[in-house]
Amino acid sequence: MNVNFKKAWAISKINFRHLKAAYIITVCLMLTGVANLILIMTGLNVTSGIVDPGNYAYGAAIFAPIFIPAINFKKIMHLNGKKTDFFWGCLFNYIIIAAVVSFTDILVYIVTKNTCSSYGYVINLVQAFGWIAHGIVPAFFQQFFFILLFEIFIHTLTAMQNFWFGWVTDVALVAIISVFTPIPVLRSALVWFFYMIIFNPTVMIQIISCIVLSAFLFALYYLFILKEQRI
Amino acid sequence: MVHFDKVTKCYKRTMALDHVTLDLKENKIYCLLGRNGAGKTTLLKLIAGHINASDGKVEVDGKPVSTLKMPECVNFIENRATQFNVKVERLLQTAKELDDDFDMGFAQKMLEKFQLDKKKKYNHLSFGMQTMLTTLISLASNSKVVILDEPVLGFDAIMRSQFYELLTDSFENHPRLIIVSTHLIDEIAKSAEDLIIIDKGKILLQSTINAVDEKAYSITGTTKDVTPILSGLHVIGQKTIGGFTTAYIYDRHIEVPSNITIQPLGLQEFFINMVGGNTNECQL
Repeated sequence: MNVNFKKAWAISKINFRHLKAAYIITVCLMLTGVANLILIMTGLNVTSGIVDPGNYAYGAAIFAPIFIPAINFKKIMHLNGKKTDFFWGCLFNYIIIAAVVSFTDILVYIVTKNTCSSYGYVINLVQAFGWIAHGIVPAFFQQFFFILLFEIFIHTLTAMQNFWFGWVTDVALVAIISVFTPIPVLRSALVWFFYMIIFNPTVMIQIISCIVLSAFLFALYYLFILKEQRI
Repeated sequence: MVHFDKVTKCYKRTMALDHVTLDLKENKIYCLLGRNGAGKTTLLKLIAGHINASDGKVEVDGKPVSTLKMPECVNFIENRATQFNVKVERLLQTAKELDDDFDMGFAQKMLEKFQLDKKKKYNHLSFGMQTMLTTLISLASNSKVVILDEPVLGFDAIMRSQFYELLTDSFENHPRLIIVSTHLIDEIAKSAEDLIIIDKGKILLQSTINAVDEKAYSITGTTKDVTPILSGLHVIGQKTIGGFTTAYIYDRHIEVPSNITIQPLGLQEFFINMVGGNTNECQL
């Protein structure tokens, strides 16, 4: 693979500059979460539990991997970007976004836990997935690698939409969720999968599962999708 | 510099390029001519690694080209390409980030020359100005191979004249392989040295423009006088009207009797005849 990391980093910076819509949506979501929290703290809203505003930072990890392959890809190629550099540039983007989102979420979780817990139950994914029980640093890395996998999955799925197999994958995903859930044997396979990438009590196994799956998905993207993606 | 070895490209059932073998040398301006759908853009995209060949081998600078091995030394901005809707100056900056050899000084000078407002956003430029900007970005790149796809599309006569000046200036300052795909052959002939004509996915001609000027001519006379002269000559087109025949020839020059008129053939007319625009006989 002929990679020019200087150009990959340049592509990464260009991507970051052209993700305004993702930033705006994420900030709006987080502000909504904060407003909701304020309403509960001031007694204007009474509820047993709310989603921690930090979880809304996940918005960046959802929307960035949609906008980058759907909008930025062609424009970067039209300025003479190369596909291999784009691939690595995107990886830099997703690593940075995953780190920022994981850090922000844990920071907001710590703040809300210490300030708002008396007003009601604040639900945060690091708590719900059991990551925070391993300590702040392992929780950061567990969340970081999970978000990275999530971003790569969304990126690959978005890039696939230009091909027939993208639509087949969409249908297959819906079928897996709807067919696997009611059938006990298949449901246990689904449970095992999520156990490996999210709920595994052994930090290293959960992290390694996410890394292996991320590498597999991104390799598929490079070899079968990016190669054929039209400019 | 650019080498095609029996390259075929098919889009489902359509064959866009049919066993094309081609060699393009460095430090020359090539003019690529062809009708719509002749395979010009496919050929250019193969050089840039935007698409893969269905069969055959494409090499640039001695290295094989594919979509995952896009050559670093090729600069190709497709015409009508979507760009980031940012200010012109920002777009130039972005282009520089992606191209180590980008000549910002040249780009700025050309912006002034063509009165492109660098504070305007890309989408607020007219179609002609957008084309001029993408052409300018390509020419400001000092890559070994620069591909310009329909660079004068949407230009008025003055802009076209300025473009040819820009092309010549750019080439003189930094000689490299420049491939210009266009329909306006007579205009590009002032800047280009070599001509490639492509039709129905096949290379019909690769020659210098001077050679075409020397070998392309027409002869006109009564059908009875003209027909015997044509034997053994490469006739690329023929028109017969009211007993008079005009034959378009691409071959050695011949001596003709005084009742037959011989005239040099313009490049545009030569191209039209080469790609089959004048093959039907019209009897009145």
